[in-house]
Amino acid sequence: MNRFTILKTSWGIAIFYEIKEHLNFTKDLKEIHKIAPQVFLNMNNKIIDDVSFKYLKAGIESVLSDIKTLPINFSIEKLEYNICDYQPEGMYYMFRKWFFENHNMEIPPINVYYDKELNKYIFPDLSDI
Amino acid sequence: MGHFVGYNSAQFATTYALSEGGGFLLNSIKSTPKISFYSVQGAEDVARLKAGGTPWPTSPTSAHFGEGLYTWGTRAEAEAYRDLLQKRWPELRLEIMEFKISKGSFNRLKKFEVPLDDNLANSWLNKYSSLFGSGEPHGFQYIKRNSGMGYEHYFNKNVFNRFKLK
Repeated sequence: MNRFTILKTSWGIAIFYEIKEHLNFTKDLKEIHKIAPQVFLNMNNKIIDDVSFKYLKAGIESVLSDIKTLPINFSIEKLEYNICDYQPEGMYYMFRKWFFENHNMEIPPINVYYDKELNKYIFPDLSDI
Repeated sequence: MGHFVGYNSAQFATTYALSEGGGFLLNSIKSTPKISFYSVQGAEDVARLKAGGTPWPTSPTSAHFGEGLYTWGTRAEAEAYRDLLQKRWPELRLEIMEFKISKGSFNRLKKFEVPLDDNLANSWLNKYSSLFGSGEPHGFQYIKRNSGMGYEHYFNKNVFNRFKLK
């Protein structure tokens, strides 16, 4: 499995994942979500909370201009994390990491800092999501 | 090391017993002070731990310091963790298990506390935690770490037999 991590203190964000993209697929698949015209997401029965799903969806939306072939279905094959080392914003950057790596593109830097008082990772670029 | 809310201070029981000469003998019996730790587990893992613990989970998301018992230092932390898990995955049926270890046994463990200094913590976790790094063997029997939800207390599987399940 692939791994996405952010670690700036004694705890962090760690998400293990496996994603595939399918160009030939049937749109009436169970659990398929329409992200944009001709862009779909299949969770494959992976259950995540609504906030995490919102960030995952936003992560896909953030790369729409970089998708070269349509229609496309992103399939979440594996997804694991420990809730003690997790924030839902991680789903956004996890997807972007996978997408840019998978397409041999440079991964844009992540704007993040750890707020000790809040005991929370802050992602200024995601404040509107 | 820090203090533990689960710690039960030494308790003394005074008993009277009939001596051979017919008088009463006062015995002060000192019970062993114990420290409690709390683990949140599903039904299968409750059964596994009651049966000795094997097979121990090995995935990074379940056992990032290695095979062993992962606990909270207070029941309140365990309840908060359980509630958060059940909020996200309502189908889970979770139980809080209380494990006790004698203060003497606990004091003899080879311990490590992940530093609060961010750089030192990162450096250590990047080497010894399989969540963030390569998960190299660390050689400790007990590790305390400030996680996103409170202090995580890890015990190596080889010291599990020193615990008693309440």
